[in-house]
Amino acid sequence: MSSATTTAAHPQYEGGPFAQLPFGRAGMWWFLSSEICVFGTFMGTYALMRIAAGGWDAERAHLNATIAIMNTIVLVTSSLTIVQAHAAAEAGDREGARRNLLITVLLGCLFLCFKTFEYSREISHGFVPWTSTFWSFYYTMTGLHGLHVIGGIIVNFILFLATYRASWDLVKHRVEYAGLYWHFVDVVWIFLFPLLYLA
Amino acid sequence: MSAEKPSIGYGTIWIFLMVLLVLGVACLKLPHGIAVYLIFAVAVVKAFLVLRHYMHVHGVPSMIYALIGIPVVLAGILIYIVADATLDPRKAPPPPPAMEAHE
Amino acid sequence: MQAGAHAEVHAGHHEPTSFWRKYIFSVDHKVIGKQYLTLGFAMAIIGGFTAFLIRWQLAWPETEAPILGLMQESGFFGPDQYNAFVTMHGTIMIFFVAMPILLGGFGNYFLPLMVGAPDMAFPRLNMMSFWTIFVASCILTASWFVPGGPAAGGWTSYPPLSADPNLSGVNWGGHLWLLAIIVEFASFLMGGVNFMVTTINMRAPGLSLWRLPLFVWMEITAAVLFMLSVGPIAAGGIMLLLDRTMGTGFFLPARGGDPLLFQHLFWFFGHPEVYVVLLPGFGMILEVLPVFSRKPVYGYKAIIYSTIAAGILSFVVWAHHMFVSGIDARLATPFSITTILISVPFAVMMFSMIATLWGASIRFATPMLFALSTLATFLVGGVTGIFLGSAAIDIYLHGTYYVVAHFHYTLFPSVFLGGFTGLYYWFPKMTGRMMNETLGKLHCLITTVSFNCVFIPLFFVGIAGHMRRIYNPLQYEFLKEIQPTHVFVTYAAIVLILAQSLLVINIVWSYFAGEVAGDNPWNANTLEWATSSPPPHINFETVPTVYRDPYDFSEPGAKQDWTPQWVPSVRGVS
Repeated sequence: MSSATTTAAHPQYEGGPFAQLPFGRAGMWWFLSSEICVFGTFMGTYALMRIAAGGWDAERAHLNATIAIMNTIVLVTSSLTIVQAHAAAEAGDREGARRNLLITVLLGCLFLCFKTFEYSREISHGFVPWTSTFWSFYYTMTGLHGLHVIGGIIVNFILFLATYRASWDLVKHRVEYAGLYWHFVDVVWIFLFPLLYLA
Repeated sequence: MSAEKPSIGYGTIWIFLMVLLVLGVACLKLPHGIAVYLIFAVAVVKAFLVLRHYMHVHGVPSMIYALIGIPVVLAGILIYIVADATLDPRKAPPPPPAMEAHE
Repeated sequence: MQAGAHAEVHAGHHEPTSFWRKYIFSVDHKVIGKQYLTLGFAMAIIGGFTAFLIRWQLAWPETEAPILGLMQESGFFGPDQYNAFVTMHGTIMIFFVAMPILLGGFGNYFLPLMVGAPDMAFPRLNMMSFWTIFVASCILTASWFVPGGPAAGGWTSYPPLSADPNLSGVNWGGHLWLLAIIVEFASFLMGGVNFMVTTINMRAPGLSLWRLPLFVWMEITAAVLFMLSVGPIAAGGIMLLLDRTMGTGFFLPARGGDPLLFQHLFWFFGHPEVYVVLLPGFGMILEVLPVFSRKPVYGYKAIIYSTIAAGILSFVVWAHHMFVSGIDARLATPFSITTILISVPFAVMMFSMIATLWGASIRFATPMLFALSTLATFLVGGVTGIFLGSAAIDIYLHGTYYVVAHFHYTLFPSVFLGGFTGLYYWFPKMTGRMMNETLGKLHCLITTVSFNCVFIPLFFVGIAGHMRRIYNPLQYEFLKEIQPTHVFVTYAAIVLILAQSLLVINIVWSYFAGEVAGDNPWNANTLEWATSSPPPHINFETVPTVYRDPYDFSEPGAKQDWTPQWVPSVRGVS
């Protein structure tokens, strides 16, 4: 079905300068390309409307940067663990891949826990998505990012379970592709965090 | 193919990212005008580190660079044009006349 | 790892045997392609019916429309329902007819065949993409039946009207409309990934990118355009949905939002989208023209470069839909320039097509007739678009029937006439049977003539000042004198819709009783004709090696006037 190896292992295909990537990696990059457009649009639109509205400083003061900083640490660390899982899978270290994938999943869940806590605090103070345009953007952008995190956690968890199965060797290349997606989610947060909380 | 032994370890990159996080937060102490640019620059450097060392975007086929660069350019074009409509109050369309409550 | 991956690939080619895996939840791109085609045709019936209702209302305002009276208490419908019909007509035709048929249907079926691959790169993702759009179609169909009726803000769905259910009276209909479209975008994103990776990674040996059939080039350009442009509208659609349901303030001025922002986000996608729909249609006629002229396509590389140029330009023309919407007047100049510029690559393509016909030995089979019809009809559409691209004229013509006529003259050729070209051309390959030539020629003649009768008058109606989406033109004094034109147009539209029954009869009859087609009934050169009709599960019993360009017709020194891609020397044909 979906092939992991390069065209070198599939001499029946023409290959050529664009075809050096394995299918899954190429496919994932095409998907991420589209996702850059989605998040780029949101972030750019937010920046513009914020400038037009005069900065939204009063509303932004209600955000809790501390939780966001902790979330950043959690997400960046999970990027570290998933790339280590990839390296372990490449090296044939099934235990290492399993361990790192599990930590990645747990860190992802921790991110969601912090986010939920943050949302509940803000909602209890009366800041809901329809309070003002700033809050609309805040909840939409972080919510969409959060949905992507949930998707990533599910995929990583499925891969974690796969380490227990005999077919692991056939699917372990997919850790790299899941890692690409997870790093993308991390990069989005790297831009989202200063955009919303700092600058 | 994808993960040759990296010249800089993944853990080292993590330390760099944490340092940059601290730097970014520290920029809040600076005056607002310059802080915005510095914080954005810090974010770009962090993203670059993740892209190069974690996603291994280095020496990859040009298609990957295009897939990353073109959407960024497109989003930039869109935002630039939209900025024209939203930023300068004179250019924005006049607000609609107040509506009386309807049935 | 090598052996494991090979085992995985080989295991994937095990042919399914159960009914469900073979016909319903199949991962075979051919089955999925046919599923998309079926979905597109089914939705086209609904889309065509809404067109009938619109035309009925314009010709005989506020009278009872036939057939509608069978579906609800009376065939009479008011302005709210009229708006709903207009909205759903556009939405269904673009998102659930054009894209499924051209990209999901023919694209899925023929892309792997034309590159010599056993299937798409990600077959299960392919299957998921079909079922995703199936779900989206169900959501949209469900929106007809909810209280408040379906979405009625136009297919463009501009806020504030579409952002506040209190303004339009449409509540769930609008939510479901947005949801259906967002789900549909996800479906085509999945498909787009498949198209790109399959074309780049899975070509047969010898099939360099410069030897790809033009249909493949058009499909992948369309896929790239879609994937890069869908981001902003996905964002905009989510924001609009939240405005409607959660009271956020993205687009409503009363809540601190900006309605113009939605228009930018929508049209940034909307303009590349029309090229997404157009290019595959062009691809199909570019396949047919050389085969039935027995001549290579003129300017193969010029066409490809023009396609890429048009694709790039399509991202910087979107505000020509917004000239009168309140954008900064200074934006009119650059966008007029880019819009008129984009006609250049399309002109190159049109000239190349005409040059392909020049001096050719033309066979007027049905696919060729449709290809010629597409070419001629699109010419009118393209030329009238130039007028709209100039901001000065657009100020007068925006929102009139001139625009409606223009975009039908571009969309109808690419989607329907181009789609019919592909259907008549590839029906033998998909089913192993030839279609009836007499019925096909009659279908082409009546469709072309009646289509022109419908839309040529609408240019003049638009210049006379008839605005779009008006429920009853008779309420305006100055429009009363053009009412006879509307009656004529409606009769022509009814003929157009009824003429499609010829196609349905032809399809059904030919499927069961058509003349048996061989592998290559049209004596064409591209790879899909190298295998049996219909192809086996793995497409090619032995994967062909490609030695030549896709349109080697009438090559000097050759035994026959066609030399397929998989034949090494001109002197021998398999």
